[in-house]
Amino acid sequence: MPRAGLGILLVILIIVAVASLGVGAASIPMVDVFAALAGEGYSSVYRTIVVDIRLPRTLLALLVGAGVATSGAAIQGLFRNPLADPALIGVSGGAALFAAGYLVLGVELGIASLGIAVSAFVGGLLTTWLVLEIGRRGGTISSMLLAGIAINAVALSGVGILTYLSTDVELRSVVFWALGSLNGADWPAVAIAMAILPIIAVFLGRSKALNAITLGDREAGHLGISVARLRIEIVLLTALAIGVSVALCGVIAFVGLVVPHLIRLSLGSNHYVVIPGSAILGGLLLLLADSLSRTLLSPAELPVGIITALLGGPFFIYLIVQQKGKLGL
Amino acid sequence: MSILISNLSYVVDDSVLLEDISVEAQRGSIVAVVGPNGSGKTSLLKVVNGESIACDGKVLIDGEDVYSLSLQTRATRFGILPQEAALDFPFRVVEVVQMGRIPHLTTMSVNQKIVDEVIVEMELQDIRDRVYLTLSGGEKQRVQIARVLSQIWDAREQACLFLDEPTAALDLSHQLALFRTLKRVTEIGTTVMVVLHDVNLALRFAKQVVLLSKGRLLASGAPLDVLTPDNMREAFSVDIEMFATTDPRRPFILARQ
Repeated sequence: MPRAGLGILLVILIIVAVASLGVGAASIPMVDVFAALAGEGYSSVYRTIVVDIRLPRTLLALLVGAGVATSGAAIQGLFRNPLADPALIGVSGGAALFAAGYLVLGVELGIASLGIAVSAFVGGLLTTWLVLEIGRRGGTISSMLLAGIAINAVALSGVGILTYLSTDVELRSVVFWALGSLNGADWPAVAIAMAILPIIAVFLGRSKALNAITLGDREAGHLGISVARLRIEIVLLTALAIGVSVALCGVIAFVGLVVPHLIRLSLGSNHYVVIPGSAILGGLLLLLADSLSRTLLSPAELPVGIITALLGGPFFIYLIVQQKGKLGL
Repeated sequence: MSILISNLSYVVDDSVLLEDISVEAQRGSIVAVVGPNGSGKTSLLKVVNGESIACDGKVLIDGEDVYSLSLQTRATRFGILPQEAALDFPFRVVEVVQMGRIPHLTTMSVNQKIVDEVIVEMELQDIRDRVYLTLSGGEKQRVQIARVLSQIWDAREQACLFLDEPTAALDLSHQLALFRTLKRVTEIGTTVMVVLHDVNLALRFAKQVVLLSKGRLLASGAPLDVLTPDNMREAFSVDIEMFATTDPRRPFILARQ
């Protein structure tokens, strides 16, 4: 059953991905999309739109959606709390703060986007570590989550201050960082986002350990899992995946929270299914949200984060009310 | 496995949780740990299974220091049931039981066979596909016990079970069923250390009772030698009465008003 579910999701993903190439300010017939992809672009405008603009954007949506959703799944497992979400507990906010800070300070380290990605990673790492430390002192998982919410608020207001202080044209608006947008997508961005793929592979490799840790830290230890090592690995990888995502697209909220839930409710809680399922569904949902954001007010664009929050927020409330027992809240 | 505990002391932040405890448990026996709240029962279990580190004294498992055993060895030989489980994710019952096989390198088919056997042993067939979070307290407890059993099922000749109040949420018939299961695994060679609040269960099923009071060992030995009116008064500050049952070796203990 879970395997069939993953297969169906994958097929839908491929169909939507191809369809997304034809959608946008200029609608392109599918025949021409395929022709452009095959390189038979007698119409070079179509070829430019499909290959240079839309294909990288579609790939970026898939990679970032997958990265954010699997990070959410992994961190929910690690924190043993289905409410943990990189955007809610401040990991994304910390990453955004450092990325914006990097731009304001204007340090030039090779390729600009790589420098932003590295600072976002450092920011994500610091906030995750801070949240974990505070949580450990507080003693409970709720205190960790509450600390994360507070840190997130502080980080995002820091981003706000930076964007208002700076006159740097490179520093995009607060809206970009706080709400997220895929309109910076190009091939170099896709190349950096490829770092998300090996991270998902490692998350998948830790499925057994993540299953064990849902029983409790002690219990996982009794099952031969080195919990301290697992915690460091997951925190590092999450910070990396979120850092890359935030550097390229800003904070994408709710995908990391809602997607693992949807997978658990439909295909079960086993991380061998939850991780790949979240990767596929996360990519799919972000791609759908981005297609909406490009077409709703076409030719203008909504930040994709508005769509994910608009759909994700109420849906999550619905889940909490409807599935109380099953979600373990 | 045999367990030899000698002169064990365990101190946390200046409070002495265990003081100079020596107990010997033979391979294949059920050892009941009894005592009032806060007397150190859970601490004793944790120190003996190597999870907490003693300040003084030794724990030998089959003659080997418990701290010298690798995490992997302990994970494949020790089944440990905590007082309460923290599982908050909607796993199915069978998936929770399968988690007991995590430390093992056995094949999927072997694991599946073990899980199926344990599910039958714990009478979980009817709820094997239910979501764990929707179960009652007693059902959850039985699922957790099944998980711990599946962990040591193929090593029952050379294993230890450490169970912290496994009967707390169980109804009468499942309490008895659990002890029948424990009897069966001890007959093969598993040693069971079990914290119990019900002294009558200890009296009826344990080969040996360890009575703790304020972190000290009050008495240890055969149930009837340990659970005497004098010892019970000293440990629990209650007077007990013993009633004869159909089995002369197994009286029934009742606290007097």
